[in-house]
Amino acid sequence: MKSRSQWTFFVAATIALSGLFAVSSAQAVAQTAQPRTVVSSATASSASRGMTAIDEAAKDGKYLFVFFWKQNDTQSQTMYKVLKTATAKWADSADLVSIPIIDRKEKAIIDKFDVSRAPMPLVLALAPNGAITKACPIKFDEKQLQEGFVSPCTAKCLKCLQDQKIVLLCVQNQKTQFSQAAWKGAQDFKADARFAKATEVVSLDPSDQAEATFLGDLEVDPKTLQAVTVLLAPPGQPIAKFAGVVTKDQIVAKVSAAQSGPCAGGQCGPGGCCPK
Amino acid sequence: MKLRTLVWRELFERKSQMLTCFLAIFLGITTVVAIKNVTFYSEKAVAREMDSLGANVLVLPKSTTLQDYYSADMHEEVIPEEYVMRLTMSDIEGVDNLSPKLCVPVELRGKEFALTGILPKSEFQAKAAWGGAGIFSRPIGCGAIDTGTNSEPEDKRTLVRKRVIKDLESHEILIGPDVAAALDLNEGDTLTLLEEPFSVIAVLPETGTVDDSRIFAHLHTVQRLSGNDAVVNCIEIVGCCEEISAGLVGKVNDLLPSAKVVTVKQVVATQQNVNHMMGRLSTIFLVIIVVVGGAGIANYMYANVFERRREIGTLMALGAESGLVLRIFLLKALLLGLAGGIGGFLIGTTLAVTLGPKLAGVPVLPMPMLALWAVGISAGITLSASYFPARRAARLDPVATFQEV
Repeated sequence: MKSRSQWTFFVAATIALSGLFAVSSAQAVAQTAQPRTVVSSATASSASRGMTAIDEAAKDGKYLFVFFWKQNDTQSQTMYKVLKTATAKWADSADLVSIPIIDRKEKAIIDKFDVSRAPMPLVLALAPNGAITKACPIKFDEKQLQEGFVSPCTAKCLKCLQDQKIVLLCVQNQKTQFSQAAWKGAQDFKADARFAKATEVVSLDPSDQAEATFLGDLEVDPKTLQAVTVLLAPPGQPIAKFAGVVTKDQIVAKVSAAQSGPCAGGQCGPGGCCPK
Repeated sequence: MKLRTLVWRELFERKSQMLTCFLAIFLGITTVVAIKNVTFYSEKAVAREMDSLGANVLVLPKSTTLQDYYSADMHEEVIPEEYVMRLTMSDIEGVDNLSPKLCVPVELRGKEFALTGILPKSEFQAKAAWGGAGIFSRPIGCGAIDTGTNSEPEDKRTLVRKRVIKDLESHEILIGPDVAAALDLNEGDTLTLLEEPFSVIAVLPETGTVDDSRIFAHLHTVQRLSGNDAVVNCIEIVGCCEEISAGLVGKVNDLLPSAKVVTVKQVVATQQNVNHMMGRLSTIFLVIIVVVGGAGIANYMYANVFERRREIGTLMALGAESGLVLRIFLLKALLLGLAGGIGGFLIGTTLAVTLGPKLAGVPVLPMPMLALWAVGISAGITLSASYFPARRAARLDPVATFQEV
């Protein structure tokens, strides 16, 4: 009959060996890291490493690249290398975490992003404010990953949209005309009981160089003489742009039209028009 | 003797020949009216389909052959459900309205129905915002939105028109009108499907398509109950604009190279080809009527005039003028034409209305305009075929006819 200590040793050794086996498979897609790299595995501590990584990245004002994977296959390994190499260059501004979606301890982060049926491997780029700034499924390159870094205002707008909120982006500064009137129109809209909970007013200085790309995407001239108000609706669709003065009623009309039709603007339908 | 009596007697002088001529005209007109009626409503249905679904795109397994847009998911081939997220997360413009479907047959009270799993928009649409900053460069004016400010509950019956539903719980179902009628179900009733209870949340309006005999449930529930993995039979991309959908096919093909991507235009083209074939067929029938019917009537009339030249001569000797003789034969032809046209229209319309929905799959209604067309064509053929024999009769010399006796 084996002694109690022998049994304890036997059980501990079995757990350790199986743990080592599980960790080795996870480590195949998560090797040494220059940026802070968090590797989640089946034997990790009870807390979700993914959720911890999100909190830490947000606290440090860093981006976080979350690498979700299902099988330790060639595709996952190759893509992880691409991600690893890229994030190593951005160590000051980004962290990396690898999440096997079969790991039950990572249920919190998998449920948070609802990726259990997503194509794998999948990388999500998270801004410090929690906005998903880029999703790269299956195959991606460094350039695509870099697109995950966005301007602060872009991240703010994305976060609002991902929280199912309408965004009234007020592009204005002290030099633009009708700034106060446009701002008042936006605030009046937000004060309306019908839209209050689901609306966010975001201001953007057109002269801010960091936002030049964002303004370019929105086709707003950084040298605009008049204040411009852009209406963005979830999940991510510009539905109206107002130059100069804008009233609450004008914004309400655009939102109502967008809600009534199958497409933004309410004027576009099957067999119908196209964006002008 | 009055003209009417003369025409009536003339009409029934050679009954069997008259009946043969009448049948030729009648059957021809019947066929053409039936084809024209069904084709008209079939073309109308295709146009309606194009109007409502013109911008839609289907993503199907590569090996699928497609006959009908509405039954595009009724096959055994599957594609991974993750294609939905690939599409949603892509920066391709115009893919924000998706409708993945998985269809499995179910038998209820001895009848077979299609249990169709659909994925509500709420479960994937949020991921459209994962496209990153690129989403802001989308043009204003096209794209599905969800402001979350609409306080009114969603009318689930719009599924048949919009092809997409916002929310659907795991044990809720929407049923087509045929299912509701066959199983005597109403909103709020409970139905046991594959040994699990489901609540009927809506009876969908009639569409005249296979959707009428479908039971719509949550995709993941259907996958679980049917023992399928995370797969679908097809993904419908509910396009917003035709121009976008035209460019969409290439981009979706690049994104999902192992799938088959077709536009509703391509699907409808098959139906249009059938309609064009029907149109050509009716033209051929028309030509046959003109040639065979006309020749038959002309032959009948010539034979009639030849065999009855003695009576015609007697009539003329008694004072009947050429014009009267001409009118007798032409009126006889006109009566034949009218009878053939009216009869052909009535029977042709009846056939189209009763058999059309079964053959063409579209509801067919009577077309009064076809009555004018049928009578006009029928009378035109009989009159033109009878004109020369009638003129010959009118030009008979009574003396010459008596000499022959």
